[in-house]
Amino acid sequence: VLASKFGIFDHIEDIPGTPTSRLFRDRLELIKTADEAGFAGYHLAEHHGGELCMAPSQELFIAAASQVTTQIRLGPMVKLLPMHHPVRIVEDICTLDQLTEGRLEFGVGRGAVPIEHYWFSHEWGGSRDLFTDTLGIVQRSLAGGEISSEGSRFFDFPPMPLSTRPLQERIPFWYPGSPVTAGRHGMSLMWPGKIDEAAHELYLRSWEQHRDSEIRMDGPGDEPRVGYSMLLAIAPTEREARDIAQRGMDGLVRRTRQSHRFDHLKLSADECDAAQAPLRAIIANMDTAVQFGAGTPNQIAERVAMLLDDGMCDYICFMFPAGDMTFDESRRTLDLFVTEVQPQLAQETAAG
Amino acid sequence: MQFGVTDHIDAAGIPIADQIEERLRLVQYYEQLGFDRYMLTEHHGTPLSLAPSPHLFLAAASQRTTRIRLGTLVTLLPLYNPLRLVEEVGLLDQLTCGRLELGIGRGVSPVEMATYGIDPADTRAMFAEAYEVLTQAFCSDTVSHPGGSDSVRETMVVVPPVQDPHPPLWYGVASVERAEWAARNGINMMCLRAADVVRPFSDRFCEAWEETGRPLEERPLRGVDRALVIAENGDEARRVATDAYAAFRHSLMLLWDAAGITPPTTFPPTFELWQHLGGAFAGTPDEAYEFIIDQVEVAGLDTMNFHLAFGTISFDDTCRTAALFAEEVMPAFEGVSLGR
Repeated sequence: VLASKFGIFDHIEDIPGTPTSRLFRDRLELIKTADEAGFAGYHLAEHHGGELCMAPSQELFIAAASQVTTQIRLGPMVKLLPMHHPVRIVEDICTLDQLTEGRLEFGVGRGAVPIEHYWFSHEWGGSRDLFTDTLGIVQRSLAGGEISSEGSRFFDFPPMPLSTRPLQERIPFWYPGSPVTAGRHGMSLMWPGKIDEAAHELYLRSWEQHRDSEIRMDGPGDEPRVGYSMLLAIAPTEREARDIAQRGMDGLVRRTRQSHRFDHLKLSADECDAAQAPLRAIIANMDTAVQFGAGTPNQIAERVAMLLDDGMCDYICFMFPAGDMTFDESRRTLDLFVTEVQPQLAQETAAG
Repeated sequence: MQFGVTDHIDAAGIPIADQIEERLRLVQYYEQLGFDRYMLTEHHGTPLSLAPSPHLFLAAASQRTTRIRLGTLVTLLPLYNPLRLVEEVGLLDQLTCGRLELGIGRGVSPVEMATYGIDPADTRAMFAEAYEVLTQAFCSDTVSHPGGSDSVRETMVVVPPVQDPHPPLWYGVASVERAEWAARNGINMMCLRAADVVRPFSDRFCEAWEETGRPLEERPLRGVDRALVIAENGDEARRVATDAYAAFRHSLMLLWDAAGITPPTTFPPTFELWQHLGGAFAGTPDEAYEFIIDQVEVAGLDTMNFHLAFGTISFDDTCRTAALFAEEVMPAFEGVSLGR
């Protein structure tokens, strides 16, 4: 379904000094450019209560983006299922798929920041079960055209016929996280950087093993898909690109750390520590991410070609703007990717 | 005098994506013609709304328009986590560049509230809580919890709306008490009832505003909401309205009828009867002008909202009503402040 192998993964972080309404206008303009350049997808993260995500209701921003683009596929990466009422999630999916005229890609997740769960009135500890329960309600309602809490442990509402429905026969679902979970529910897997073969194998095996699982989001003929996410900063010199990428990671890490600053109000020290494992992974991988994602157009073309050639990658989502990159730096990254990297990749494909 | 448009996006019997696109084009046309605002209702589990998430439709409309104000009539507060509501209001006001008009309500249909598993007996309290969270967030950019039962929420920072201190609020008024409540809280009122029934609401609204001691020119608006079909030929307008109304009424009544409950607002079997009861109007531009003058005088109004697209009415017929209204009716009210 994806038109090309490239997409954008975004948080819409705050850019200090940029008025918020300007922030959104700029971002919509960037998505429009990506659309015109043939990018396949734009995926927006969900976070609450801080500058890590200025558009916490992703659907609103995606609805806006639907009207300034025509081809690019749009959606959350991810929708934090435990934060929302399943009826609202399903109604939003229907409305968004109609507004985008069938361009919705739907990433789902549990939510890695404990305090966000407490803000939304449930326990961090129970959020995994709540995630699976909600996913089941979503799956059954999209398959059957009627939303119902039957079999749910968390919700109780009468069956309701959907007055609207998605335009696509099947919404593509994404899961960034455990390859086993992604495979079990028949969802595409989004992976931070290049996947290792063991994890890839785990994903494929889980996909096959759980074909009869109660909650499957795929349909007949759907294949497992793996997308990579990577930071991207392109500049005329590697040095400049590295400086930009470094500021990107610095800002992203700082804000992710900030998002955990209230965890201790609800969790023990051990629990807080455990909840920050993903943050530690980001920090551990920081230098690699900067080195890999920053470069001249030639360097980026080589590295992207290498990723695409590894036999496991179906899609690459670039992260920009990120952290303390300026908007102009992100804009130039996109322009250089479109005018220099893409043609070079196309040439190599044709030659190869 | 201001004029707005109200829409349900009720099922017209065409593919959903086509109808949504038609409605977006209509919003652009309303803007071009000089209507002041476009307001969308919220409904669930019924063909009365093909956009049960009205904020999403408005976010889309924000990118197709630049001037017309975009709002809800009304957002059903009990169906939103109050925090998400605060986030959506801020974001939507940002995306519209400060053009949001926020209608708030508790939801009058017990069947629709039940779709989210909500007991109708709880909606008053839920509305009150959400309203408090919302207004508190408008003042401080953080979110609190009424009663202080959970201080954790106070740590949540939200993106504020563009409009300072907040987008204009609207409330559907059907009693003198709520008219008074709206006025005291600086909230615009919109009524569905017949003009003579609205009059006491309108009067109490003005008195209550006066009692606040705030200046008359800042008084929130008093409006009614009417279906409207106009054509050069009055018979043609009435025929179009009558034909379109059947599907609209079907969508309106479906859940009420299935549950065996009577809705608080009557929607009679025919458009003609509806017009007779004062909820709708079909006729020529001149007749429409007379109708509006009469409504304003009887009810005491500052503004009116019109349902221009409903049921199976065609895109072209809606455009005709909008254009004739803008060209032949609206100019007579320019700069006029009729409300008394």
